[in-house]
Amino acid sequence: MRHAIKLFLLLFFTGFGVIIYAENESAKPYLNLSGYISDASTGEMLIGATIYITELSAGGATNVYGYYSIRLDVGKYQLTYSYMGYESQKFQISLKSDTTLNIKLMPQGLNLSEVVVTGESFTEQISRAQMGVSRLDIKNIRQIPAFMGEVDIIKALQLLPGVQATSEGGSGFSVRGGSPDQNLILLDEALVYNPSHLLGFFSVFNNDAVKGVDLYKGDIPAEYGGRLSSVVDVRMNDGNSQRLSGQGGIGTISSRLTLEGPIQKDKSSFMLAGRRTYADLFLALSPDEDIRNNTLYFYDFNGKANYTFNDRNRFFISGYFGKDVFKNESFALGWGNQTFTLRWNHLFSSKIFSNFSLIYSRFNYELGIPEGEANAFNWNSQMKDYSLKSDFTWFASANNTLKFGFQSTFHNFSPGTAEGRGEDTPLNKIEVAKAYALESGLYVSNEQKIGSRLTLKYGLRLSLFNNIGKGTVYEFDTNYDKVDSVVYPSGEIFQNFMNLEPRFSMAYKLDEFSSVKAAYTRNAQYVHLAQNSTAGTPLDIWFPSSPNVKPQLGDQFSLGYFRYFPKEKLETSVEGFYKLNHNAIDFKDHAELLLNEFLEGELRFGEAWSYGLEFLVRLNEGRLNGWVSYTWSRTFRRIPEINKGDPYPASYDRPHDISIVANYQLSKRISLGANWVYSTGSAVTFPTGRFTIGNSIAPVYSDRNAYRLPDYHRLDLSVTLKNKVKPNRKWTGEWNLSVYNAYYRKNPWVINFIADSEQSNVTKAEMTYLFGIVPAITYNFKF
Amino acid sequence: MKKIKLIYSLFVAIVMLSSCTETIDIELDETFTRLVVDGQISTDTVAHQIKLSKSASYFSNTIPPVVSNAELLLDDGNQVISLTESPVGSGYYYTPEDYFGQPGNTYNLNINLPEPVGEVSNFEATSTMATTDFILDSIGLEYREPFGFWMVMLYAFDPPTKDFYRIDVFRNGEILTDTAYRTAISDDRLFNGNYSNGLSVTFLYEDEVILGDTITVLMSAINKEYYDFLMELRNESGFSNPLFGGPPANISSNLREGGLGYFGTRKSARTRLIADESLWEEVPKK
Repeated sequence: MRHAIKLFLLLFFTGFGVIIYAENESAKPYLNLSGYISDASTGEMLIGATIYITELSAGGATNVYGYYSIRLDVGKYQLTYSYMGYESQKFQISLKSDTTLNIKLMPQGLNLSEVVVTGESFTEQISRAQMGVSRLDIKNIRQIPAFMGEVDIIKALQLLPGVQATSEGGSGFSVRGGSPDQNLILLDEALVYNPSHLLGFFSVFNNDAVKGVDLYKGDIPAEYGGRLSSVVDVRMNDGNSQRLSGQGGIGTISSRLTLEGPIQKDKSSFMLAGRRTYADLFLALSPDEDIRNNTLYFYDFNGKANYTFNDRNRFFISGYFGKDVFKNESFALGWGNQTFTLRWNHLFSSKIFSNFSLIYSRFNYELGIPEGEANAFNWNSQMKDYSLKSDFTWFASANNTLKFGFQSTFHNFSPGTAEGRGEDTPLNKIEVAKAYALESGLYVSNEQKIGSRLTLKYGLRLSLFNNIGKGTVYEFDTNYDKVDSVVYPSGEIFQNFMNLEPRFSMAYKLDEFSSVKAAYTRNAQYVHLAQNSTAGTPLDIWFPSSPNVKPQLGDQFSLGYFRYFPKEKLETSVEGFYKLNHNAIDFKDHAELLLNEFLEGELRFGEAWSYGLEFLVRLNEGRLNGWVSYTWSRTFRRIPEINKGDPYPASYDRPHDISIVANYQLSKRISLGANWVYSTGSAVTFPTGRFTIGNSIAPVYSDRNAYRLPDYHRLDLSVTLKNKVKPNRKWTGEWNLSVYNAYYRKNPWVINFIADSEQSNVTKAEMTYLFGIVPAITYNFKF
Repeated sequence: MKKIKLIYSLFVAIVMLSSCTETIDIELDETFTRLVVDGQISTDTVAHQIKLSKSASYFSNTIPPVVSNAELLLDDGNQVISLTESPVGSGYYYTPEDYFGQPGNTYNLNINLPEPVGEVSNFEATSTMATTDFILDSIGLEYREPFGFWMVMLYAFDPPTKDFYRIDVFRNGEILTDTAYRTAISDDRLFNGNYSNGLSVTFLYEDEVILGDTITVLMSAINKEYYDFLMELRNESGFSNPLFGGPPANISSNLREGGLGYFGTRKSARTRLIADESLWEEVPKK
């Protein structure tokens, strides 16, 4: 281990050395052009806005804080600053010394004829050595018809190629065949352990409070670690720095209100957002009194403030607090996520951008039967993290951009405690031992341009994981029965893991509008989810790697062809991937995961692999926009103790997957949205035989996942009607009418095989589908 | 676990608010036939019953074919007795009426079939009877209004060892809990070494208790393997739901040579209650 750290440090400093050397070698006096790009109306920093330099046919893009930096020779340049949905700015500069240019872009007006079409942003993407990434701006996401009118980032991601929802209406998703727990979901850098509300029908992200989302599914940059399949990086709005403003909505299922504004103009601003559902109002309509007496809702708050101390220092503080409540007179269940992030952006010089973060995140749930009822009990569980993070970007030379940094997270696992309530409770206390671990990562990567066609990105992440006492380690025999246990005292490190994770990608420009890209990445995952169901329940149990559980490792190879058609304004891409997951985790037959001290004895290890091809055609600008994606992919698992050791398809193996997302601006005031999804039914196990015990008919099953549910398809529609624009009126409103599952497809959620209640000895298959046609109406406003 | 079942049913209630269910046609492959054993030896002095039948394809929709004229030998460590089919052709085999099981004994059942089932004609199953020193004190019944059913409350002492129980309920001698879904099974994690003090262990429907009825609870200590079998049987023969429970998996069996079902043992005790007026004091009048 020490050896590997040495090796890493050696590579780290050699990397620097080479670049610094290269820097000194170049005789030309390079100059630096840098600054922030923001929205002119709100002051909101724009992530991924592009700078295009006509003379070089090249450029750059802003980072997640809206900062860019480019190295140029002395000279005259034609610059184009652009961002999707904003009017581009073009101007000529004569660069004589290091220059800071903070640019404010105007959002495109409603006057469609004025839309300036810019191919530059895609040209920039074509030459970047970054594969398998999708950026969805909140504006695009809002155009997609939403379930119950509730605009949802996660549901939008599920429409992208390579991303599959794990169950109808759920927030769980599988990226390129990975498990749902292999997605790193971040909200302002803080990890969100369970992104779902109300059994997954809604996600925790309030669309008014977020800027947008980046999904990395192939080539995960070296600055991210800890999950195998994807990174979902969600950023909250910073808050309007120009004027006090607000937005919100009143919908069928929930209402939202966001307030934002400057504290000191151009210096500091805040954003506060709240949302609450009133699903319980629907319960009141039920004819069944037992259902009427239930309380069921969720709420969440987002808050953020930022302060620009000076040109070189900016501070951000942001937090999220959300909770789901379900209760009636004899039962209560609550769960929620909380995150908190404190950040400091610091420019050491215009060439070195840095960010330091302190992060807290927690997921917990609690359930029970109130005192006075039979078997009254209380059960709680939580997962809590404290992190420290520092990231540096060094715009080292015209052709090299280095990123390096460090992150360390202290994990605190409380898998579950249950105890009886009341003095004379007959129930014993059951407590699954807490566990502690430290997860750290050290990384360096460089994006290097070689000539005008080739861009390389290579990096290395060193990840470390330490199990720390107080902790109990059970020893299991070959039958997975507990034979012994060792208790480690508080503070003692009793297990170390270390992995080197190389990340490599390259882009080769074939011509101005097309490129081929290739990537290889390795990822390690040290924290895993014990979740056996395909739909997301809140009863999640996260557990660490330990002497009994090796870290999961993932290798992914991908290759892609990207082409932009300037005349038709079409972005197209084809990406292929092959993925191998070592030490993949599955659960033994009839596993018991909840409140089980010997959870590790229920785990079985093997390997998982997936491969596929993803096609995407995306039209971003103009009256008609949207995308069509088709994915063909397979995903398998092989675990020696499961399915007689034969490979079996994962439940989210859905070979064919099509998404069509379209938005059409009918007139200045009316826009129409539609999306259609189709996928092969998920792989399921069905009974092929039966036998009788007492009066019960018991099944004999097929091989694991040998059958398929019927194919899934669904059409959603929406229409948005904007109020008339009146000058001098700040208030703007719009009505949104949406229909989920417009042609009433009965998509099976589950198929049960049951005995017929009327005829003995007769068994039948019965399918349950969740939603018929679900219409919803929402009024959204801004002021 | 009982708690999980409770949460499960509440979640299902929410989901059912918006969901619908209908019968669907599914094509299933045929499967090969296997021998099925169903029966136990208990500490009661009775003719203990073992049933032999055959498995069938899932949509066979007929009475399961029985296995007749088999030779069943039970070895309890002291003697080997032979079970007799009664009536011949029924697939039910019995020990003599004066036979009773002994806690701690290991019972070995040898089955010799007249013709092979699933290409095997000789099967064997072994079960060791639990020795748990539990004391069944009494039971109570309490009407639970929101659910509209009777909770069966258990008053019993559990020894400090790790134990497993099966609980059956009878009304006037007729079994009420005759399906896997209703047979109560429990480990002692929640009350190990304690007096169970009215823990509710199972429920009866509103119309299953009538004034004057004799409600009998049969509590049996069972071994871990039999407990696992009952648990799996319950989970796999009921409804499944993507929210809870893992992927379907076959139910274990202690029949070696690839049979199905279970040959179990149980250390039993009984207690009963006469349903008198006091039970209805809490029940709302209709």
